[in-house]
Order: sequence, then structure tokens, then C-alpha cells
Amino acid sequence: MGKHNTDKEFEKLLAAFTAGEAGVSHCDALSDFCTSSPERGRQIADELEFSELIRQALVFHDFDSFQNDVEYRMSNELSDDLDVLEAKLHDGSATRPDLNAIARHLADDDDRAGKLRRALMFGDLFEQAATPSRHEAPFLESLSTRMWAQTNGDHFVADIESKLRLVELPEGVESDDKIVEFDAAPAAASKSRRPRKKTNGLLPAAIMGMGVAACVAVGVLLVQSGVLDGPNLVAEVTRSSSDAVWSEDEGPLSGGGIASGQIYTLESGVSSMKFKNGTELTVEGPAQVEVVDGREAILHSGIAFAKTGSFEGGFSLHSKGINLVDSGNSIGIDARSDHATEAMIFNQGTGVDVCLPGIGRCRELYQYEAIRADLDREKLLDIPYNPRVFTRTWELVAGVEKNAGSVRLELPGSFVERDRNTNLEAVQIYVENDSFRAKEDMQVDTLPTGQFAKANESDTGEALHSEGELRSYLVQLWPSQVRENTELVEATITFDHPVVGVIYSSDRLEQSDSIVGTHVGTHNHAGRGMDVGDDEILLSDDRRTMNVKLKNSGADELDHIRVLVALN
Amino acid sequence: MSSEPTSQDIFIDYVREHHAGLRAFTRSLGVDPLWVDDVAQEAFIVAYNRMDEFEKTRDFGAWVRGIARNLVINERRKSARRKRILSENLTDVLVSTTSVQEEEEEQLGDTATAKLAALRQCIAELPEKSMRMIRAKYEEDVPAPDLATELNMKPPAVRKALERIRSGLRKCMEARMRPAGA
Repeated sequence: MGKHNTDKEFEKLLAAFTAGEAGVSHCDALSDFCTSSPERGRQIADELEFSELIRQALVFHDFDSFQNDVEYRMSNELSDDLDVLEAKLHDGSATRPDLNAIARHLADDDDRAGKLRRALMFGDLFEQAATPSRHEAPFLESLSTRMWAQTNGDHFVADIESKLRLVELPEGVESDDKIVEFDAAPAAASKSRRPRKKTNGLLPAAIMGMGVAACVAVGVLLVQSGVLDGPNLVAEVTRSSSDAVWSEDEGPLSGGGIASGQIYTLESGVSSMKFKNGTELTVEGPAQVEVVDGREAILHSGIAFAKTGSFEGGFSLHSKGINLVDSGNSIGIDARSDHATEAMIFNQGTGVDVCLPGIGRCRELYQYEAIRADLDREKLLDIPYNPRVFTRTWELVAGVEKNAGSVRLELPGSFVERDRNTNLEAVQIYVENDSFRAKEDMQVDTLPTGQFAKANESDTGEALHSEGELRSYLVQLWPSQVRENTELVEATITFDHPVVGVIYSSDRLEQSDSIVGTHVGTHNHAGRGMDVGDDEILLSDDRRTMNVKLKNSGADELDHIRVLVALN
Repeated sequence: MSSEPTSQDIFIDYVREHHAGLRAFTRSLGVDPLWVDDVAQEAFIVAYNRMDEFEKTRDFGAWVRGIARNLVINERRKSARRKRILSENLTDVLVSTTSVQEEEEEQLGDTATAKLAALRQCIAELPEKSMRMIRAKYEEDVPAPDLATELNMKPPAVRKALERIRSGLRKCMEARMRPAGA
């Protein structure tokens, strides 16, 4: 046999052997090859070694499992005292061999295993009692974040908060007392000069509870024009919640003016400052913000919601571990922790550059994305989008000043739907589009002011011609899945801009969807609009307050009212 | 408006009532302490998504602990890097001692909230030095050698003292849990 044929024959046998198809005669032949050529012997050994590596890669895909298995089998030899091993388990110093040894000890001793389980349970309860990070509140907050992320933004978050806080309501505060009255004082008076509330430790929680429970429970304070005329003044406080308290030493000027190069401390409540370039920065106290100049601010602590103006270079917003440069977006920063800062984007548009200073790591964020800067580990981590923490700032920013009745302001990113587990009979308000210009005239329904009106099929409507900026809200009552409820759900909503158009007929809603460019999801529902004959709507003479009486008519009827307000 | 609690209201009540017990139960199956809350939260989310299957006559605590138990069992199938349990073998042993019978689970888990409240009271009554040690260990995560230096003690003495404090707290908690006169 020539060398070529010999090689070919060897390769054929080796291929059969490595494929596991070699019979006895094949093996004998291979053995002969090895005897005559040590090199071929090494080749076979090499192939066998490689086959084993493949097997391990497939079966023992992680070496830890293999090692663990070996250690467990060897742990019979360990003579460590179980008490010592368990003590190590409890204080967190048990190694894997220790754990395997414990398992060996307990394998045939159910009583001892049960005792260990009870000891572990006690250890965990002990930590829940003694370790702040394991208290009830952080657990529920973390759970609510996951619920938001995994259940498509349902209301578990807000509901659990209001429930927890309502439990703590002090005497004399009614749980239905949802409306915080307008504060008639000028903006500057909402600062430190306001007498502080005396609290008994429960009242802040109650106030917060009302803030959450009320859809929008803020007093809007408009600053007189001309406040920005002073030297170094780059922004002005435009509105504040009625519980806003600025620091005595670090508050805005008496007219609400904000100067460059100053640090401002909001002790409680929510307050918005508007910059000359159109950027609106809303902070929730306790918060400290440093206004560097007209296009740059630093959030040292607290929560901030920024609607940045569209201008070249963008607005720079910094915080612990995060630098954002943005133009024309709505962004939120949560800088309450010393260990992590979180940022998220609320509206669609261009991506926002988020950078971790010092090490130059950056990430572009888009709508409904969130990121955490881990300050301890100097890392940027993607996290689930959950805007819950911005509930109060959103209430101020959304431009729905106050409400009565069962009303819920939906957070950015909420879809037009109802949680399947919620038998909610509340009017929901969505900000469909925060700011847009109508490219064409919109057909709106005819709604005289100052009197209740009903949907009328013969209404020919009217054209809304607008050249200015509009904002669109969607007011909704989701149909009951459970039953037809003859009771009317009544709500009063006050907007901070005049209402210029209302759409509640099904066809006009559909026609205006694309013009409005709604961002809150699709409305795949045949029976949208107000029910003819049942639902009623009233727009006040000043065109800012709307009262609706909606009937929950069952699964096929989705009450929708589109409200258009003029921003300028 | 109907004053009947919604299914979501009921679920929230369940979470508040059972989270302490569920977390402790999860730990008792050998879950890594760092992942206990993560597994417990996952169990709640599974329960939330399957509330339609839950019969209200049953004990929610036992039901959600059953879910957690299955989640822990499933951890065995994950690669070591992603596992949230300390040791497959230990978890095998500990899981095998759990019972699906609600009576036992109730005994182990459903008193957790009351135990937690009792424990908090016991902690509040600790002498100053013991309180400092507990805070250092559980709040500040101070290593035993550092704590020993701070307290002018030897590290083994610190460990022993912490053990004694834990043991004392357990007795205190159990005493508070006993009915008056028992």
C-alpha cells in the first residue's frame, strides 16, 4: 500500500473512531497504526483529548458544576463540626466545601435540616429588622419598579404608595381630602418666608400621600413679568406646589429671580424655574440645585424634571456621576442617593448623551429608557424605565392644575389601557403630546362654554385653526369589564392654559389622532368618544376648567375626550 | 362608586402581609442572602400575573411560598454564574424538608410580620454597646476586625458577642410572641 493510501486509510479509521462508529476491527487496525508510528498515536490521543474538551464544553459547560460535584462527593471526608459550619453559613463566611459539608450532614437528618431552615428564617427576619436597606419600604419600592417594568406600567406603584401613606394619615385629615388649595401668595412668598408647617412626623407622610392620591394637587404661582431684568438673573420661579419651602439662605430672590452662580435649596414641595432659553427645570425637595449660568445647572441632590429648550449646544444638566447635554427633550434625574444617580428620558426626539464624568463612559438614551450611574463601582447600568419617582414633578409639569373627583394623571410612558387587575373607575388623564403645531385645521366638537353639553350626533363641528403651540390631553374612562354601572363618574379638571378645542365624537377623534401625533399608544377601540345621551361635559367661561360626567356603559364603550390647549 | 376592594387592592394587602415571611422563607431554602429579595419579588410578580388562578379560599402566603419554592428549584438549572442559590446540594436538602401542606408553611411563614415587629422592639431595647455592634454589623457592614479595633476587642470576641446578641434577640422575640400567661 502506498503512503498516500495508508494516510487515507488512517484518516478514515480515525474519523470513524472519533465519531464513535469504530468497531473492534477498526480499533485493532488503529492500534496497528500506532504501533508502527508513534506520531499517529499522538494524533489519536490529541483527537481523544479534543473530544473530551467538546464533551466538557457541552456537558460541564461551567466548570463550577463539575468542581461542585467533586467537592460534594469528597465532603464525606470532612469532619467539621456542623455547629461550626452552620455558624459560618449564618455569618456569611461559609465556603462552597463548607456548604457541601452541611448538605452532607443534613442529607439524612430532616429534623436538623428543618432546624437550620428556621434559623435561616430568623436570620433573615433579623436582617429585615436591623438593616435599613432591607426594611419594608426599599423592598416595596424595588418591587414596584419591577412591577412597572414587567406589567406594562400598571398602577401598583401609585396605589401601594397611596395605600401605605393613607394608613398613616393623622387625625383630622380625611382620606378623601385630595385637593390642596391654590396658594394665592406670589411665588417669592412660597419660599422661606412662608411659616413652616409644624409636623408630628406623620403629617409629611400625609401630605405626600395626598400629593400622590390627588391627581394634581398643586398650586400654580405665576411670576410677574420683568423679573429677569436684574443683573445675573438667568431664570425665574414660575410655579410651585403649595407646600414648597425654599431655604432661608439659599432661596430665589423676592420676585422669584434665579441668579447664575448660586446654589438653591428647596426643602420641600415642588418648584419650577424657567430659563431665558426656554428650559424649564422642576425640582422636588429636599433638593439642592446649583445654577451655573443660563445653560447649565447642577443637581447636587433631590429629584429634577427638565424640559430643555431647543437651542444650539443644548442645556447641560449635571448631577452626581452623570452629565447630560440635551436639547428639546424631557428628562428626569433622581439624585437622592449617595451611591447611585438615575436618569430617564420621557419624550421621543433625539437621543440624549449621558456620560459618566471622569472616566469618559457615555451612553445615548432614548424615549422611555433609563440608566443608573453606580457611583461606587463607576458604572453606567441600564435599568427598567419607571417614572414613578417623578410623580410629583410631573404633576406640576403636566399643566393640569387641580382636580376634583376620581381623577388620575398618568405618567409619561403610560399606554391607553387599563390594568387587567384594576377595577378602576377613575377618569384618567394622559398628556398625549406636550407641544406640537397642527399642520392642518382640526375638526373639533362644538362646545359652548358655561353650560353642560351632551354628545350630539348632528353636531357638524367646527374647524380649529391654530398657528401656535398646542398641547393635547386625552381624558379617558375605561369601560368596566365587570358590569355596566349606571352611576356617573364625575371629575373636574383645571388646565393651566386655555382650552381651544375639545373632541369627543368618535370620527373626529380618529381624524385628529395623526395630527396630534399621540404618543400614548394606539386606540384600537371601536366605541371611542362620549356616549350619546349619557355623558355630559362643561367648559367654564374662562376655558380653563372642565367638568365631565361619564357613564361606564360596559365593555364596548371607551369614553375618550381630547382636550387641546394653547401654549402661546 | 363601589367601595368593594379591587383585586389589586387585595393583592397589595397580600404583599404587605406576606413579604416579610416570604423573604425569610426564601432565605431558608438556601438562597444567597444578596438575592433573597430578588427571588421574593419575582415570586410576587408571578403571583400577580396569575391571580386569576388563585382561589380566594386558599392561603395566599402558602401559595406564594409555593411559587418561590419552584423558582428556587429552577435555580438549579441555571449556570453557576447566574444562580441565586448558595449551593445546589444545600438547597436540595433544604427544599426537601419543606412541605406543600399549608399548615407547616403557616407555622413557618405567616407569623413573620408579627415576629418582625417583636424583633424590632427587642432591638430597640438593646444596651448601647450591643446596639452599636448590631448597627455596625447589619447597617454599616463593618468587618469584625475593624469593629474589634473600634471597640478595643479581639475579632473572635466580637464574633462571639454578636452570636450572643443574636441568641438573646431570638429569645426576646419568642418571648414576645408567646401569648400572655403562657
